[in-house]
Amino acid sequence: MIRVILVDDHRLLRQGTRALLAEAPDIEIVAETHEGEEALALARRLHPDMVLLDIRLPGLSGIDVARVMRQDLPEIRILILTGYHHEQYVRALFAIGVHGYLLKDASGPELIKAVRNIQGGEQVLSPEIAAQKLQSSVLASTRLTYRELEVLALVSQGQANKQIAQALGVTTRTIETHMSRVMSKLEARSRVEAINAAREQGILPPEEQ
Amino acid sequence: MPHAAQERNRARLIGLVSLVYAIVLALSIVTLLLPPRLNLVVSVPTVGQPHVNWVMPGSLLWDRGIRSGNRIFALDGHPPRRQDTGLWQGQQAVIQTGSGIVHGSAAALRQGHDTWPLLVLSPWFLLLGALVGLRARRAVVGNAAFALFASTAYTLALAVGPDDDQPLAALAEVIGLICFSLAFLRFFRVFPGTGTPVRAARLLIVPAIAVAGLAVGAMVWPPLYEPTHALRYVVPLVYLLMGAALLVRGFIKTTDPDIRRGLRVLSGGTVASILPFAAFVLAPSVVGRSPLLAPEHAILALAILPASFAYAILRHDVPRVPLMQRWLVHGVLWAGVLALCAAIAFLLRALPATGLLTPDLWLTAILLLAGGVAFRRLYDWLLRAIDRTIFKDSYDYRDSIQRLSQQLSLAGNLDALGDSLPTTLCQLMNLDYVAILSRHEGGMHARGAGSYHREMLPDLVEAAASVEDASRVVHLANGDPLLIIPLRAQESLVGHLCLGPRSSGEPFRPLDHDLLATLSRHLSTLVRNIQLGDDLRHKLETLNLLNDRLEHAREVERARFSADLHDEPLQTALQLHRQLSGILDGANGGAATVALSRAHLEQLRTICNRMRPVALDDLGLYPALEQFILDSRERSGVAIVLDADGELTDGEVSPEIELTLYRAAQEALNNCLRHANASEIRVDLHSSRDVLRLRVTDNGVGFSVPDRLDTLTAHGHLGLVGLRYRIEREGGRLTIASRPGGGTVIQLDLPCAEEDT
Repeated sequence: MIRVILVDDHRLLRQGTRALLAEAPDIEIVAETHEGEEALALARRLHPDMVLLDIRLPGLSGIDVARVMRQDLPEIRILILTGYHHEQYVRALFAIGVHGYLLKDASGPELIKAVRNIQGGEQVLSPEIAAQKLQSSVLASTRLTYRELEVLALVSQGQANKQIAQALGVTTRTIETHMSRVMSKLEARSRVEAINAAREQGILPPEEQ
Repeated sequence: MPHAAQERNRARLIGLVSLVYAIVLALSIVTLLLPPRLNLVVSVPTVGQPHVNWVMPGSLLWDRGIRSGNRIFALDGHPPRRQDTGLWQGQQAVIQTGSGIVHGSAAALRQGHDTWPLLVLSPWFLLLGALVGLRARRAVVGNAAFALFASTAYTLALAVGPDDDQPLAALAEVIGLICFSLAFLRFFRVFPGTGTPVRAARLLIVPAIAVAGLAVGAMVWPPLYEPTHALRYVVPLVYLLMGAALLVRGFIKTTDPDIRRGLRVLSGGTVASILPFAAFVLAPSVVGRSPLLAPEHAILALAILPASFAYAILRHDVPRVPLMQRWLVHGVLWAGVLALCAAIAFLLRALPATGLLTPDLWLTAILLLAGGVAFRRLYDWLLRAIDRTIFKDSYDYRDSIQRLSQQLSLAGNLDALGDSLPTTLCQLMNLDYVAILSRHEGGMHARGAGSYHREMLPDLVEAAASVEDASRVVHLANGDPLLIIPLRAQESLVGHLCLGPRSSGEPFRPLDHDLLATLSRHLSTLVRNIQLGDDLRHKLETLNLLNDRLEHAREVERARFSADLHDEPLQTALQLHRQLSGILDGANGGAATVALSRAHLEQLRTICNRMRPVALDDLGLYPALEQFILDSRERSGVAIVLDADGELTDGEVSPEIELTLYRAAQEALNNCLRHANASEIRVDLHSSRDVLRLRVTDNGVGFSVPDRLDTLTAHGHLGLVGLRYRIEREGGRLTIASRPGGGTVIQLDLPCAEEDT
């Protein structure tokens, strides 16, 4: 049984999502809320397996909630369920360390599959976004800086942002920024894509078997 | 401190003068008590007749018709002897004149000559003079009154001894006459409301000195005696009458009730003191009758004069305007010049060769005239030197105007002017203080120099309020006179120039008024310009504030609209889309409907994003800029690249600055895309320690940048001008570098607000 908390500020959409997930017997919605602060409180109290998180929330935004949860409750997985399909959001959130990014117009089976896959340890990206032609970077230079390389190497070793930040003596936001820029420079949409691209380009050594 | 010392010094001086006076009076009385004597200069040659060499003009023997050259028969009952040669003083003389033999006797000298009124009047004048000198509320007034009364007392005391007894007494009388006229001038020149021009007043001293000169001349050249004799009495009388006239005039012109009361006392006293002499002695003699009252008794009424002055000065503090020490100095200078002339005349007479030059009267007159012309330059030079060293207020009109104009032209604002100009004025005219009052941003603005201080402002403003059209002297509550010159420009009153009393206590000279009139015109224009500039700045600030509010309100409105759209219609559309997708999945035509629904969703999102770049709030400046650049590139097809510091998103810039930078980049980029026709655009965003720099560089057509960016509005670059004002209000700077065909660089620097460190 996958225990899930549903966070969305729109009642109608929460009902819709609940209806879509009702099809799956192995997914249980243990709580739902419309604001970020309460979402954090619920997560701390109920220790769910996963949080389905909207970006646009009153008060604390979904991005802030994701950041806090990745720091304080790293065992809880996060699936972003949003209307935004912009690369910047995708990159920013994957830089924070979320596990999945799905558009709200995803169908029921898509949603259920995403929840199950994430629970299985995969990273999930909305098929619409994945299908989108990746826009080439607007950056003047796509060479990684020494710092960015350092962060990417630590990420590829499976370290969380919080650990990397402590190791490098900076804030987690700085790590996110570096990671986001690394993804932008490597034209990747998620951390996994970025690590793979870096390995392909020989920037990082091949994965140890 | 120095005030008490001054008081002591004054008391000492008054005591000293009174002591000397007492000695003079005592000598006069002693002379009066001794038996009278005849005075003659006698010549007893070995060959020829003994004859008179000099006879005192105006003496008894003179009156009997004896002149130099007359033959002497007997002196004190015996024929003249060899030892009688020189000055002879005795009781009886028998001398042959042109009309017969004259018997002169000293016993007849004092018959019918009543001297006691003079003896009473003289100390009375001195007593009241000393009283006023010690007790007057203002030292200068007391000093002047004392000088006048003491000199009168001397003249009267010396007049007690007849000329026959003491030839030197006649000389002393001449000195008394000069002193009296000088003191008189000092006293009356500055009476309230007289307004006598300086040059005209200076001339008043001339008759007194001329008469004195003639009296001295008569001793040397006896024919001068007759005209001089009459003038000696006429001159003081003229002064007295003139004084009365000035008093009456002052009384008419003054509005201050206390001064009017004081002047009434003075006028009444003066008229009462002259009236008996005029009515009982002067008037009968005019119609050819003998005096109704002996002149000696008639002048007793003069006792009223010092009494009325003392009362007016002590009780009503009149006159209010301090007196001019300078006139004493000027008078002494004139006396010196004339004495020099007289000395030359005397020397010429003593030379044997000039004995041919007769008559001596003409010679003397010509010499005086020539001396006057010759010494004029010397006199002027001396005057200026004295003014410079003692009174410290001599200046050259043209130099000063140039100096002041220079200061005026250099001053861009009143604060800059307020330091230099009043100081210069203070120095030029030796003023206590100078203040420039101007209406300034709703309040009164004042800048001053000298002893001016902030607490004086209310008094000055109150005094200036009554002066609108012509400059005027206003008396402050503490009695200080203040010259207030209204500053008018273009028919409106823009301020006042206030000049405190001159350190010498004198009124302003015509030269000062000329300089101030010229200066005030320039100053008015400057003050007006400064005020207009301030008004403009003020209006601009208000306009900027309104613009800011408008801008802010617009952003708030957009954000709310975007949020509203996002929160309800967009979410509903999303759910609708989900349900549609669920229902229509796989059905005929379903795919088209789902696509339509998706397009609808996308349109709503685009509107939301345009209203308010949500990425800016959610992710920060850098991703929002990246998003905007991506969208712009997609829309325009122009290669746009971004070079930015990643650290910028690290929460170190306030949301307001982020929004300003975002909108600035938006404006600059749109401007490029619209006008530049560029194929490449580069956006740089960098932060150094305290400056955020955004630079948009294109390789487009460029344009020639005008010197004043404001003129860009005329070319339709409204956005850039608006952007510039917005940046400048945040404390930043916008620079545009471009030339036709050479691309454009728009750069803006914003100071970082480091509020949390």
